[in-house]
Amino acid sequence: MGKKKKRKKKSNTNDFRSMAHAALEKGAKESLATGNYRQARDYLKELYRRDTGRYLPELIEAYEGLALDMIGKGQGENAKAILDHINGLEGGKHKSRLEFILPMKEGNFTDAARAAVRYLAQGKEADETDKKYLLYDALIVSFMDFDSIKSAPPLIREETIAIQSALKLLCEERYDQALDLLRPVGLRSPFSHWKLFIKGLCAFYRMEDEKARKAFLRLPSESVPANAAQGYLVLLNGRAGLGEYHKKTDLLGRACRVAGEKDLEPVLPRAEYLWRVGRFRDSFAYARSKIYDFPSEEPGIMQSLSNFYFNAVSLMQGKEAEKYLGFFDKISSGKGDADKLEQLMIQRARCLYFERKDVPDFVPINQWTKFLDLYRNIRGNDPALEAVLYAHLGDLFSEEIGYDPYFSFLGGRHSGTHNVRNADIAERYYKKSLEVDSDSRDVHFSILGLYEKTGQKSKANKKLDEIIRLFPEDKEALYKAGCRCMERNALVKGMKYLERALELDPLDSKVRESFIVCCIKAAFRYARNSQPDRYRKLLPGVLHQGDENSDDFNRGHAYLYARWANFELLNGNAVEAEALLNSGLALAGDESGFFYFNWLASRLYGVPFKYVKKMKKEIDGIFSDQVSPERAAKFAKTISYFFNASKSGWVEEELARVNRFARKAAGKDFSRDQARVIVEYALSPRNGDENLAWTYIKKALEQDPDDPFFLFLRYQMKGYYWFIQRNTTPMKELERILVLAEKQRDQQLMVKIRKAMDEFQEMLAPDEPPDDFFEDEDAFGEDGFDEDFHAFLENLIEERFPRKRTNRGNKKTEKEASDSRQMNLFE
Amino acid sequence: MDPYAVLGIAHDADDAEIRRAYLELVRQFPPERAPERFREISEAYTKVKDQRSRLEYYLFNHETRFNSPFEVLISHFAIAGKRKPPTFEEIKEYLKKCATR
Repeated sequence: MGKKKKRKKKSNTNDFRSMAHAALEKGAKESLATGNYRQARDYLKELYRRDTGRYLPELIEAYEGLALDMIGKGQGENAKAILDHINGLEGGKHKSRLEFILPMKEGNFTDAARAAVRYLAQGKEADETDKKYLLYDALIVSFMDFDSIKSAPPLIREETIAIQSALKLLCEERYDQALDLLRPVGLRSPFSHWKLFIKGLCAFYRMEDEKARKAFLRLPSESVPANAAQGYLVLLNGRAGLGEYHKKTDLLGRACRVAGEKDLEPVLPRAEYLWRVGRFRDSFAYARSKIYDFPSEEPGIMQSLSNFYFNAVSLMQGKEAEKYLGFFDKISSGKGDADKLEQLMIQRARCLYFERKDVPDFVPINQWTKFLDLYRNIRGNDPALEAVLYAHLGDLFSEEIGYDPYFSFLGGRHSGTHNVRNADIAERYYKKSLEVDSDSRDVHFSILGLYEKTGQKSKANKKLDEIIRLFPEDKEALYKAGCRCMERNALVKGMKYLERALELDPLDSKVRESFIVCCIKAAFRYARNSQPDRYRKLLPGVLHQGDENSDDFNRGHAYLYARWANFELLNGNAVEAEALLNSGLALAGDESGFFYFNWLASRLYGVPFKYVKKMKKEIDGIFSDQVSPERAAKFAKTISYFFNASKSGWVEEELARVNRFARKAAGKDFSRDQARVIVEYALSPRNGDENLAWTYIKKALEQDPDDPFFLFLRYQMKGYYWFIQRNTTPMKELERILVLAEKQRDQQLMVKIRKAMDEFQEMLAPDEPPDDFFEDEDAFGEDGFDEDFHAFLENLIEERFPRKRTNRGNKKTEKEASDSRQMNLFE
Repeated sequence: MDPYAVLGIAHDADDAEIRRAYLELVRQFPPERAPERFREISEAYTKVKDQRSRLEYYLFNHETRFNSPFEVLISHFAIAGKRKPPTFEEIKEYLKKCATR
């Protein structure tokens, strides 16, 4: 035997007849309050039967509520039947507001307005329900002439005409006049919401968006102006508010109309809905089928929409992108001349898509070649476009790629013998570009860049000479040529190029610094070759380009004097040297820092010991007696400058000395900036003294536990498990540090932190595994993983986030190299 | 956003016209008064200021600042120079349509 179905209990008239009066009243009241008009009707029918006079208004209210519900569900006929029934009660004495609401909802505005006029003519006013505005809205939206509403009360008549006239003035862009006309409409007027609406419209068309938004948001809901304002609000709220609207296609349609894109009203809302629910191909197909001039390259919204759909594949990943492209393929395999533009746009989308993928080299070449052929077919030859396209292919294949020792054996892009994608192809396409447009400075530089990246020095030099010939007044070319000459020790030629570049742009600090460096190198050479006249002729010009009161080791006058003094000592001119040193000392901000620089420079330049005995004694004294973090930071900065200068043992000795000094100074109070300099120095690749760095990091964090700079260094030094033991994770730590860095607006640090977060996430979220990765349950166990895989993942994490090591100079630990802006003067 | 739409120029505008449009807009929306708009205008100018840039934009632009087709409409509307109200007949039709909802 089957289960008995539960049937809904139908209301039984006898049930209500047997109910107590109080219970009926309570039921009716509650039903009306909760908007359950059907039930309210049932209670009130019985109450009306018992006392017609008393309960008629409430019974009518219940009927009206029910009818309005039906209107809301599109059941206009049922609602009309209710209205007829109401009109039949008490001989039709009661005039229901349905008289004007029903025709209005059906679009019968003339009848609605007439009913509203009759309603008002009987001295009735709108009740205090949320439908009260509709009585007056009916008058406005009918746009009937003055005679037709003459039986309405005079004030109502005047204000109706005022509102309609103000709307007309608004449409003529006579905003001030429109607002003047509405001045007599007071706050208590039943048309006050129309006045507010028109104010909002005037503000909207005057681009006073905030004012418009405020006005529209104050409109009473359930009124026609509030409904109308929704379309404006969609536009005013911008892209941010769109997410909640995609199902409200009618509302989006209104927004299209307000935006002046009436033709898109029947199309865009549906296309939007399909896109938002992830039916991308359907959205594209729908737009394509409904919009006449789609796709389009003509300026305007159609072009933007076309670009959106064709570029959207760039946002997609994996199978999603493939499906979308597959759809393009289907379209492009169709016939017909009219499709040529579409084919071109599809082909372009394919070209750009394959550039992002790890595909063999011939793929992007073939795709772009196909595009070019199509383009020539449709538009004819365009040398400028060809040149740009070939140059782009050159750029694509000259991109630097990283070398991954773990996965290189799996294939992928051809890495060749250099660290660019494919140097030969890159060069070929750059040259093809120059065949079409030989004047392209950018492409010449790109070829130069390619040679530099791939270490083809001889080709790079020849190319540079060619560039100088072609563009003799190009500052960038002259600068590069000067730098390359410096590298080759062709210092005189280098100085010539750099001087010319400086003449073209005296304010370019990069050129100025290179010029100074080149001159100093030349001066040192003259000094070594015992040619004092030559360096004495050169150095005043260098001072002219330098900075008098700077602590920059290349440009600062104090340090330039120190070098000059050393050159004099190399040639045995002690008296001249002393005078120069005094000049330098007078300009130096700090005596001990200056002396230390001078000492290091003398060691590097190979000044005979007899001249530097006294200096050594002074330096030794400073290092042993005058320990301070301030000095430690200065010495750290100075020795860092000399790191690249020499591989000789004396650099290591000095390094060790400064480290000892800094370690002693850690016991004293130090400032944040001093700690930064010392930590960066300690962690630099040449130094690698993590213990020294940690000493300062720890103390700095004791002084300020929320210092993001030191927190990030701590993050880099500590292993994965260090965070786990402290009930956090590396990612949580990074997020915390990022918030602190944002508060300090440290943009550089924020970039580093975000990069670390991306790397961490990338490391933990590998690419989609091959489809058959998890199929073999026997191999991997019930849940698809096994211990080997867990161990692999842990090792990967440990590699990336090693636990704290105690040995010095661990080069494998990733540390930020000290950001040295000082060029190497001493090679 | 389409740089041509941002600058209010045709696609066949030459370097001089583009520069004129750019300077005019920058005068209207200087960085201290309208930083966001200024940034948008400057970015647009960089993309189309000379023939090479324009060709590069045409060929290789694949930026997608929009998340959906309707955002295209909203952006276009946002950068439109002037807003023209509808005609009286159009607004009547619009209001009537809203009244039946």
